[in-house]
Amino acid sequence: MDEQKLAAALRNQEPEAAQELVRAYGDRLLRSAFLLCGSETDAEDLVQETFLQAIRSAHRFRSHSTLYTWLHAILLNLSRRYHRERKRLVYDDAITEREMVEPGDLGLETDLQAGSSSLEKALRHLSAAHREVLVLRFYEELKIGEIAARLGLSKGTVKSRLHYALAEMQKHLPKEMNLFGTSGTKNIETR
Amino acid sequence: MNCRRFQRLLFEYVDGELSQREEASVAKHLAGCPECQKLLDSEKSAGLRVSKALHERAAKVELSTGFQERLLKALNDGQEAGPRTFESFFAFVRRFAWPAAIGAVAVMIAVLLLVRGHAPSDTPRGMALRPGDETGPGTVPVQAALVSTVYTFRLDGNQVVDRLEYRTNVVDGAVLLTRN
Repeated sequence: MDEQKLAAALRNQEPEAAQELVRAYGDRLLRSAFLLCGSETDAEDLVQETFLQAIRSAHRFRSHSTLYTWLHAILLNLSRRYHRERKRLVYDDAITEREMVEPGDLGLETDLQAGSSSLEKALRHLSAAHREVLVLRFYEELKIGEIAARLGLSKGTVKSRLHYALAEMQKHLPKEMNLFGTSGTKNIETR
Repeated sequence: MNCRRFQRLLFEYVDGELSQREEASVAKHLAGCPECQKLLDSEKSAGLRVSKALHERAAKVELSTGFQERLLKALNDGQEAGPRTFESFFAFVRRFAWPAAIGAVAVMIAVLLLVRGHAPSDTPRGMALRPGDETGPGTVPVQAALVSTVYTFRLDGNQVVDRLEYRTNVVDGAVLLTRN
């Protein structure tokens, strides 16, 4: 089913539309969700919630964006809420004696720890905001302007976060995986 | 075009989003600035490696079997899937916090107006009596009610059990009226 027909089927709430939506975008959305939250289990929950919201609000979908862009925008909102709620959990009375968890560590449980690569371990050190721009740039392959529009940020903020994210990744990667060759990031202006 | 300006435009240059004029300006700068050229090469290289690594890792992730069935069931049940314990908790707080606060303020204002209304119009002055002071002619009994909202919650397994109560504290007193 092509995208226009699928969008029409969703708006008309045709029974097979939901199945077709999952078939067409499920895995792709899941992979992005996994990179955003670091847990396969939580990623699947996020994707399920994304589809539920999308199907229920299909009447609001306007064809000036693609279906995937629309779905991914829903996913990003859910991902941000996911990270906010996980951060609140850290301040529960029962665990006030534990040292505060760094934002970058939240949500990255055994999925990334078990057999994870050096890159994944480096990803753990990024906050949700920095991981977001990294995933949008280097996985979703969006341009700076597109990332800024998607996240509601200025281009300057997006670039600043990207520079920081790459510098952090460089810090936590083993030397043999040096991302930047000899010049490193010393010339990069950060804000 | 200087190095600082180039660094600000680096990503747009990589994306091919600069105007023809800006692109020419950058190209000219790069031709004469080995440091910036090196920086550009580094950023491109880093980006390619991060991109490759992200794609390789993400490719191993797939929807579990039964995902579609669970989704369709959730749709049919009209329920949202996934963890919503804290979503509903904070939604509850948002829903009741403001009405509760406004209600408490409104009650306090009403109490203040009630207390003021008891004083006879020709003798506006009054002095509050303390416990143990004698009451008698010239005193006006006053009752003040303060309503406070108490919201409690606890975690019970995967659920949040919460409760909103309105507690009224009533204080009886008296005001001694004097004439100037």
